Amino acid sequence: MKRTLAIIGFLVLVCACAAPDKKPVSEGLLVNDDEKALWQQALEEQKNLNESAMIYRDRQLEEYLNSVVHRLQPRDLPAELSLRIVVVLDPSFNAFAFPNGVIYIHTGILACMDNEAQLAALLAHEMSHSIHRHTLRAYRHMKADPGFMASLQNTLAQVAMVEELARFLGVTGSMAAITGYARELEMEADVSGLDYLITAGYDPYQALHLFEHLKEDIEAQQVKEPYFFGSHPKIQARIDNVTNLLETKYADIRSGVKNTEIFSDKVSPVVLENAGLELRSGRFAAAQRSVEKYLRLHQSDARAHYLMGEIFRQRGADQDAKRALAQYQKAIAYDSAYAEPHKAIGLIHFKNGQRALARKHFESCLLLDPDTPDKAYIQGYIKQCVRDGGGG
Amino acid sequence: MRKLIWVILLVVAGCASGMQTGAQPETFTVNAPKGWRKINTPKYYMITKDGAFLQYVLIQERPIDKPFLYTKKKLRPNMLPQEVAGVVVDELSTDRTIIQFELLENNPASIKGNEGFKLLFTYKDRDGSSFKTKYYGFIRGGIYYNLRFTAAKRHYYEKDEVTFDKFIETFRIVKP
Repeated sequence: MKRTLAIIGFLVLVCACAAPDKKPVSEGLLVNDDEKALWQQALEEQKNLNESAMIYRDRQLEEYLNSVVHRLQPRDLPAELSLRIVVVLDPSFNAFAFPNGVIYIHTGILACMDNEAQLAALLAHEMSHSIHRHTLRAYRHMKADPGFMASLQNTLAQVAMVEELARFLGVTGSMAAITGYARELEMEADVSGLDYLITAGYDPYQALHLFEHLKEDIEAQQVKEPYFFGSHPKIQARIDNVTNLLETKYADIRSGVKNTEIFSDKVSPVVLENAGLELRSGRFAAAQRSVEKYLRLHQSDARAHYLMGEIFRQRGADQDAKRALAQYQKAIAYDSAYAEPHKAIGLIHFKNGQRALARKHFESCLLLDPDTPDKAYIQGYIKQCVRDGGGG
Repeated sequence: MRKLIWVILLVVAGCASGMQTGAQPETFTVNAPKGWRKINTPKYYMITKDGAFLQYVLIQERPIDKPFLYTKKKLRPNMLPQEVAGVVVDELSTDRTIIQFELLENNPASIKGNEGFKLLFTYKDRDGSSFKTKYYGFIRGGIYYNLRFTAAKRHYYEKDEVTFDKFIETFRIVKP
């Protein structure tokens, strides 16, 4: 069964690169067996993903995200299609929707947004894929295309390079998350999404700002255009398309709801969490931007100052040690029981040969957190400090 | 065969922390345990007893300025072993080719007189098989050395762990 599903998955991936059925699906939702099978497959993929360690769990945030998508959803949404948002712990710019209306959004793209209108623009685009049954249309096109085998080799190569996310995805999720839909379907989602966005009263120009954030990330990472918004078609074409719509069809709409404050309040924990992921990936500039963004709202957050210190210490550029020390001192000032900054200060002094200072902070760290995972390292440093004459 | 290719891919691309040594010939000597055979890989010293998909020992030597595959962090000559370990753990945990990476241990270690670190971790491959790895690493003379033992979590890890520990004792850097 798994093998069969995997093969179907590959086939659907292939079809994602091909032109889809341009006609909307006319029959009722879940009337035909192929759509039922896709939904069943989607449920299985979601189960795998939801049970993985990749899911960011925050009930308040989920409630907020769901409230935004519910504001966007059309009144005639079929009862079977239950729109719901799940957050994936991943610093990349990505979001994807399953045919049954479950939308996965990465922390990376959430963290870069400025307001609720940008979030709504993203969700409106993604929910359009579900509402307009893009997975089913792509799947049916594949079945009708006898030449799909020619593309299989290429697609397999793509699958081999995809991320951990792909391990949990098959037929439906891979297409939505990794390869993207065909050009026509992405364009349709843009047009439809913009309509949902405006109907809900959001500022449609924020959709363009979201694209700009994506472009900045692409340039900063010096990578080829990523999956969301990027794969089909190219991002500039999408920007041009949305801009054209705003200047013509929606020319009389000049502004709308942004909800910046509530968005920042709800999403800021994700910003800090994502900064940690960016630091782990060595994306120092992105991590720094994220922590700075977080600190603008939470100036006295010890954890954020510590993380900023870690960014500087690990980056190791000129003057970074000095910058790191300043951040660690702030972290301690805001939380005197916080052990980690003491360890980090100890490391900087230790490397500079300031053994007495290093020892003092290493000992403080162990005093505050006797079971710190770095205990063996720290005990070794203290011994060396004593040996080198850095006694207390 | 497909599994073996996958193991090698895993070593080259992911679990191996993206090491591309290019350091030829080897700057070390070791004595392979009896009954273990060398796997013909161009850039790594790799041996196995029952097949690389069941267990293997791998030694890599790479210039410290070589970039990793996943994390953009870099090794530096003045790094403490703990800092080197931190970069390696970041590489492993952001590795796209392994899933459910779990670090069980990260401690200082001396590898034949070289101050370094020891990691113990588990992960799953794309087929869902569980593996456990004991990993030693250290920097010497501009080269980052790592010696690891990876085996199927059940049975093979326990069976061959002692062999790996004894094997490490035969490790000698001959140059620089």
